[in-house]
Amino acid sequence: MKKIFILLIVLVFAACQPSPIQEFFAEKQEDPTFNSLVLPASLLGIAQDSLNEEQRAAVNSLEKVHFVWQQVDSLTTDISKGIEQAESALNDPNYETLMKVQMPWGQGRVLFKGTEDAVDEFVVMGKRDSLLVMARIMGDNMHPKYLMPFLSSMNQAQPDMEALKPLMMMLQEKEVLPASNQVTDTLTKKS
Amino acid sequence: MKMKSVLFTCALAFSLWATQAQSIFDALENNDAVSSVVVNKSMFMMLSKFEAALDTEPEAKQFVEMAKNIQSLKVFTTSDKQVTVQMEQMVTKYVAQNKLTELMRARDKEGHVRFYIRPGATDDKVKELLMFVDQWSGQGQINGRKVENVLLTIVGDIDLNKISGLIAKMNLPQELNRVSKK
Repeated sequence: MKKIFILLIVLVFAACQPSPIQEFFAEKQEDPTFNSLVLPASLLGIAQDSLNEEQRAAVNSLEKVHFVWQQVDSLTTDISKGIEQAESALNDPNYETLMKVQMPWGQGRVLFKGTEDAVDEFVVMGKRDSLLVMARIMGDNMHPKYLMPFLSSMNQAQPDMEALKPLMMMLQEKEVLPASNQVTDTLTKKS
Repeated sequence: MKMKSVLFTCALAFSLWATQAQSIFDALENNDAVSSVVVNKSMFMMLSKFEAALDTEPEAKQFVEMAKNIQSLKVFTTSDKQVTVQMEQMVTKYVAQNKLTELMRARDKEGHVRFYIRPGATDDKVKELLMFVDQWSGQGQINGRKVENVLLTIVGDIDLNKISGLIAKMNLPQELNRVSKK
């Protein structure tokens, strides 16, 4: 009897253990040396009624995306501690690694929680010497087969640009996305 | 109290076992001179489901069938001579430890390619395929192009004749096509 009791306590304790990844995001959201952005799916401005059934299921499976990032600038000169914390958080037993990439320009890692048919959450980490980006893509039963319908519904989307501005500016600053004038340049070149 | 120490020992033993189970190639993942891509089983499951939803050409179907049964894919490339030597030692050790058999080796002016397999049910189906391309054993530089040494391992149920679909989808080195008998 006593054995069962102890076993139960151990089990309960193990089940309640907070997830290091979730803790990392909660902590860094408040950290002044980090930037944070939560993007609800509704901001993407996808008009529900123009979608077919599959597209609607795909769009509704996504709830929100949470970014935290840290970069080397005039205020923050050293991000190695943040990278270290992020990497130890990624050893979270609640998540499974999908893939890891290391290239001369940086490193990346993708993890997920749930099952392959019904993903609850993806976590993406990217880093290089001067930048650390972590993102949690949260949803409900996201299925790989939804990716194409989701992308096709994005074509018809009218995102709330005012709300997305900080994100676009961040991405352009980091040269993840080309600056807007460059975009128009390449567009005109093509035509 | 005694129970607790037993549990603790179990936990410790398990964690030790878990770290032991890692492959010797993992050290390469943290080497700055090495570019690496590691793809796990769940990713292949998702990729196969994603492709299956598109239901298109036969090559995609072949990929879906194959991807379902893959446990992991690791690709390491480097231009560093020292790391290449290290890689070669790892391969030799790994092949001996895991009793892989040599499928073929080829040497030409482009370098030195070796394939090792862990045999499966039939001649065409293998449980593991390891490829090692060593260009340093040639002249070091090939027509002024930067040398690239590649170490690639695929673990799972692999049909050597259907590997071309995988190579195309995953953007893998063309050398791999040599194992296909067709």
